[in-house]
Amino acid sequence: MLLDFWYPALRSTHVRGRKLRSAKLLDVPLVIGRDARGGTFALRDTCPHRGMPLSVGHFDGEVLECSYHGWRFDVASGQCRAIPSLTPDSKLKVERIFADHFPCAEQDGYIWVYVPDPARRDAAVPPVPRLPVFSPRYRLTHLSVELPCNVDHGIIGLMDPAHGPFVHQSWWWRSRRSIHEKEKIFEPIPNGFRIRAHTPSANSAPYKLLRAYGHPITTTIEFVLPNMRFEQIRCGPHWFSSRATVTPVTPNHSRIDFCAAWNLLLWVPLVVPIFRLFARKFLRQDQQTMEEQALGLKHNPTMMLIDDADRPAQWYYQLKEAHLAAQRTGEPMQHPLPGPVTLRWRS
Amino acid sequence: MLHSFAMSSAALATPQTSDSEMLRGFWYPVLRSPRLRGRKLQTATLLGVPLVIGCNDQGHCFALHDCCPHRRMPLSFGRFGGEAVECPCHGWRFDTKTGCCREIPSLPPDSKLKIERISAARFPCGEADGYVWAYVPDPAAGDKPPPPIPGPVTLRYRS
Repeated sequence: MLLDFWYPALRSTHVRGRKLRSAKLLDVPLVIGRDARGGTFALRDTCPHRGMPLSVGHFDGEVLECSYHGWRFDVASGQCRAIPSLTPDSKLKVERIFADHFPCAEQDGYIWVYVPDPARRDAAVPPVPRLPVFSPRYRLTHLSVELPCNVDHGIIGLMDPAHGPFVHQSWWWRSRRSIHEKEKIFEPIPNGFRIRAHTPSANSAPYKLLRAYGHPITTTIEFVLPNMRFEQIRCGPHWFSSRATVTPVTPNHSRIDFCAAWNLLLWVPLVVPIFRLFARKFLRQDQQTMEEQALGLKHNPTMMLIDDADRPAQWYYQLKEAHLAAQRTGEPMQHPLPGPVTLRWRS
Repeated sequence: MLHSFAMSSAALATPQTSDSEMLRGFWYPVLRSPRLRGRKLQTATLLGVPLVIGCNDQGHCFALHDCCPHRRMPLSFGRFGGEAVECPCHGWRFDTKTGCCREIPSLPPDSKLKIERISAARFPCGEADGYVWAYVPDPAAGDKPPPPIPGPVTLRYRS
């Protein structure tokens, strides 16, 4: 699980008023809430005193009080402000006690938490990831599914070009009969790789729909460490942009958070619920596959990665390795893709 | 009461067979025969090994390791056409007679990958006395063919 990255912890709408929410990222329990000004904060959900989850404590909009012994922590810094059991002449420096505090920000309807490597706590925090949008007016929707597997399997599934005709078989998407040979150019980008802008696959209904606009259609797909897959479809002034993140919750549990924005069919009523219906079915199919796969991985976690269809999965492991090596040595990251690579497969 | 308690703890103290000591090189009953009907795939676990069990169009039963070698998907979730099992993840097809991979749909026609070298482990399988039996080979015994499935035991005695 990769440290020093932002991860989406909760949907923004789940954190309201002074209610405290708990979440878990990379096996770290978190308490997340909003201060009196509406800003979000994230602390480790463990009181440094006796390990009590702070999320069951009391919160007044500024200070979080542990429910066990009333230790009070400033949510903006995690710093301890008061320990009620201390006598006035106590020499204990309460301001030196901290509940672990994590950078926290809101973007695209999610509350993101930056999980730093404890060894590099003072390093600069990069900006929060953003979903690219291309016009002032657009629709936005979010979906998420839980996966009973390690984040790596979720990400490999996300980048897998060959599962479509089998896992996502349906009249409106793919079928066995629609399988044909494909050739795409992949190129390196910082911390990831991109499928160069191309005309999308002709074998699916949504793309057939877009063709009605009469503009040339291009699609770009990117994978960026630690866990993000971006897809953009452009069709003249019209666009669709989506991002799927696979977030490590624990070593054996992860979650796909999918959000999509588009400026197509803005005048059509019910377009969001209809889109959600299809997208949910799609994500459910991936979820079911991973639930079933988890049963097999329990017996034997080694996999066989073959040929071009599994090359993106191999690159993911290599990128991760290269990133960790760069962190260890302080040297610049050695990208596994030396330049553009053409991959061929049937799907 | 106390006495019987002491007896049962003594029974529990009998050394248990650990995973590595489970006996290989034997036939084990895995399913009742009537459960194998049509092209339905069944699952069973034998000596810690998950198995997918079915009956091919010629009426012969088979047992394969219930695990696609590609991404470890249980093959029992896949489709079975009477001869080959197809993994539901990427459509890899395995011959149920040999366990050998027959097709990988994602490969372009000019791929040099030798798919016949990929296989799902196959276990000798047969029917007797209303059971489907599977043979778990002993890796130390090499390619020795399995003995016949144990027949019904006839006890002869006088009384």
